[in-house]
Amino acid sequence: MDLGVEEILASVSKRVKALERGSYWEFRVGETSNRRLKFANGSAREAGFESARAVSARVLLKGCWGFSAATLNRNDWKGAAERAAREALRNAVLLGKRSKNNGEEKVEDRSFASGRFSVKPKVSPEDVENEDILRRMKELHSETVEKFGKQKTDDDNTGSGEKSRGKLSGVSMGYSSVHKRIGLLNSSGSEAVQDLLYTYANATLTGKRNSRVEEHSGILGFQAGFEVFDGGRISSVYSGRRRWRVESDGMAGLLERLSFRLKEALIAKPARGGVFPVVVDEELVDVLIHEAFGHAAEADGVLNGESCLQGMIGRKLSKRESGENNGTDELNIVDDATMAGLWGSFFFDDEGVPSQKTEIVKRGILKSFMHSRETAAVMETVSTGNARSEGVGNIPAVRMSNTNLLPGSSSDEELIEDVKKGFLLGGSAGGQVDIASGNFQFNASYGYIIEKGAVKTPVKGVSLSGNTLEMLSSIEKIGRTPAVGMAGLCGKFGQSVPVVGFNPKVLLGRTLVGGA
Amino acid sequence: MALVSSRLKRVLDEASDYSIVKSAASSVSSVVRNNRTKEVSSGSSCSYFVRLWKGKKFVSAEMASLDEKNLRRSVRLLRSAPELEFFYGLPPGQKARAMKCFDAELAEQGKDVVLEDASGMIELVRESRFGKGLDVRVTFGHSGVSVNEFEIETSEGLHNIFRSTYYGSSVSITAGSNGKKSSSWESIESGSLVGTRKKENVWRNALMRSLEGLNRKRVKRLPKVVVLSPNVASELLEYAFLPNFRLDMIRDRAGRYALGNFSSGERIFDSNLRIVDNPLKKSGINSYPFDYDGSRSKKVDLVKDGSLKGVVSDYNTSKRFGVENNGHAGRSSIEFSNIEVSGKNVEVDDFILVESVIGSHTSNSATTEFSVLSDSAVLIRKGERVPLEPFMMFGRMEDILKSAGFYGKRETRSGITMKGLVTDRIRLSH
Repeated sequence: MDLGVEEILASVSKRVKALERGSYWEFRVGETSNRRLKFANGSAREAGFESARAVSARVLLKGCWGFSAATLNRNDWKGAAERAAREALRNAVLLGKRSKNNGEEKVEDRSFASGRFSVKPKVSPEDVENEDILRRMKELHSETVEKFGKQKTDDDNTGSGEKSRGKLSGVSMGYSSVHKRIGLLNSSGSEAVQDLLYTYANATLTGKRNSRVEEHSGILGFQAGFEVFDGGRISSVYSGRRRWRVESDGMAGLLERLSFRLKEALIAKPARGGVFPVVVDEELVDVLIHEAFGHAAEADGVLNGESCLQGMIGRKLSKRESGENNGTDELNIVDDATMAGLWGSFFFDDEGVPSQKTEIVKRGILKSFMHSRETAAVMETVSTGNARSEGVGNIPAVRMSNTNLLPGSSSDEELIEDVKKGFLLGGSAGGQVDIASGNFQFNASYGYIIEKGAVKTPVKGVSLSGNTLEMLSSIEKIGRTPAVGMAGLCGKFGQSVPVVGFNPKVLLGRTLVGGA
Repeated sequence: MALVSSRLKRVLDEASDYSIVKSAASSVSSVVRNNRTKEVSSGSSCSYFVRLWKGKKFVSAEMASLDEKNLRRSVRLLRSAPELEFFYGLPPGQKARAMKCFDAELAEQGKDVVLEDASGMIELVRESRFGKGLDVRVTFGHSGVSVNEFEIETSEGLHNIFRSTYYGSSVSITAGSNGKKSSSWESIESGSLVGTRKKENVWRNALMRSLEGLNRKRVKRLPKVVVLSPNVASELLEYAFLPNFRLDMIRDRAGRYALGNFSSGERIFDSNLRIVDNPLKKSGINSYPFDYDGSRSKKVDLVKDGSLKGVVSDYNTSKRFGVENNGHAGRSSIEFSNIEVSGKNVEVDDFILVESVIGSHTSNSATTEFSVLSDSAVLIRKGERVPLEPFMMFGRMEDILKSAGFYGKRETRSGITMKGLVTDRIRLSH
């Protein structure tokens, strides 16, 4: 008998009886189906699909957590569910016997999800054939190669007389739609199923100019259907005081943007490092807010004593310790998993807590951390629905969703006009943070020198680094228009979960900038 | 036992060729959080990676269950699949060499090992004596053991099986004093049981570095010579340099070098530099006797005597370019196995030792440039260690390897074995 997630969930309660010995337990079942296409330099590289099913059980017994997971093979869900439940309990019992350091623990279990939830795409990925997508990729490949030779860069307008603009040497594109169905049953009363649909399109362009090789990549990712590839409206979401339209550029828009950036990179000069004011674009603000601040606001890290935000609730983050008033009171940061269509959204987390919007910083003051049921119990608060795992086979941990700096009041011109000498940095080429010290490093994928309030020549290989608390206090102006950042997978404890941000540009005061 | 029954073979009849790879694993792990063993988990997983061809039409599928329903879906997809630009058929069947990468003792003692590791990390921190007001904790510890099985079957009649064991343990220790915090991370990986003493040395190193981090100083005049520890050097090589040695990167024109650079014999790097990829390394964590194509894997010189020598390849891409197939096909791209880096040994006495960095994955492999933040670095002067405040480091791996020297003990990190890399070609900025 080939049962679906809902049927398994409805008939599993007898099979996981063993878990009821615990003070808290949960049982999850998941089904993933993924379709992917790759196209490079004019020809198809790969077409394929993935399908997987798994069950897992987790139990808290006298302060010890036991967990077990198994992939479902040949529809043996009954056996797999029973084995997972028994093995999870056995692991918790074993830990209780062998470890001297366990305490009595509780979880916060006031909220629970119930029912069936689904992402509703405008164009279902199932309705679009592989052949059609590959045909469109072939056309886009030709258009991109043709346009690359014609595209102008800012340098064309400077009258530098530069002749060689470089050659486009590689174009690769990818498309994937991932359908995840997750069912959850737990001791808090949750019995719910959610259908999540992750659709993304990615592209990488490589260019050469003399002996120089440069590469630019980008991803469009939303909880939506094929409209992500085609481009157009995805949803509308609230951020700050108003509603914003969320759109996908489509693969055509992405290729156009990457072409322009690649041409700029091929003529860009290495930046000279030092301490400068920096205007940061929406995509890089996304990484900054997520990496430099967001990870430090995850309550598990705070409880472990490894976060630089420990003991800071109620403290002003937007001003320097010295009281120097160079920060902005416009600093508001939220984590919001309810934003329709955004890559980091979901209906309930992996502990069965309904998704929600959490105010982390309000008018510059640290208000709350992000919580799981366990961290919420220890800190005597409620779960914020941030317990997430990569898949049913992984243990949930406190993770972000869509983490956003809310829009401020400055226009693009106002962000730049007072910068005498500095940088405009944008795009994300990755970043990392040590949450204990708060030290971070991010690479921008493009950059320009700003001189006397005007954007000038492009620079390449620029990174910025600093410290979380210093960075927050150095935000001098916040842009008024937010945009969706680059859909990403955030790694923690060896698991990756989809995250993104909806952020405006900002002006950072004194920031350490490095060139390559 | 064959992976594909005669009933399933009939479903696959429509494909001219097929290859099925089964990956199965059973694992057990423990997690330490905040000086406490928090959880024990166990799991089993199994997946089948199916590739089907009909002429030049190709499709790949990954499934948890190798059943009629999933295979029929793959065959349906094959009918409308795109044609590959180049396809030279399945590689000729090669029976794999026997390779010992399975430690029965490790497989047997998995749960005990991970629980002992958890207690060991906690005890080390609890029993160490720290000054008043110093808060030191294991903020995160993980120890895991897995037993893996990798099996391939193709329509050419090839059937190979390889079993291996894996042990990995990592620890993050945070020290705090007067509102200042410093954390340090260390890890150890092996294909077989690791002695307690060796593990304790790794944990102690993390402890020492987290304590050192509380007393970081800003030194005005820093020496020019920088030693990148094996941990840092291997990370930078992995992200900023090695991708250029994958034949699929060269095929996609996404790498720094073209194939012609590998046959020219031109010396680009220090004449003593040698970089080897060795999938046949005994008990190597990335060892495998055959790849995803079923081809026998071979050791390959990537750099020898300072010149570009070879690339890691798979069957189809090597056929297309007329180079040797050295059996490095991965699931969806060509992959490295165990990398060994060696060169001229040098002695240094006044230098900066960089033991961990932030941001190496942001490096640009097409230019080999990196720009990272030092997370843990010390000034070594007259045998004394002075912990340094974080600084930015910028450089180009290709330039560094032009005059690279090697210093200290050989260590293996993420499958790359090397000594510390000595260079004066990194720019530093506070």
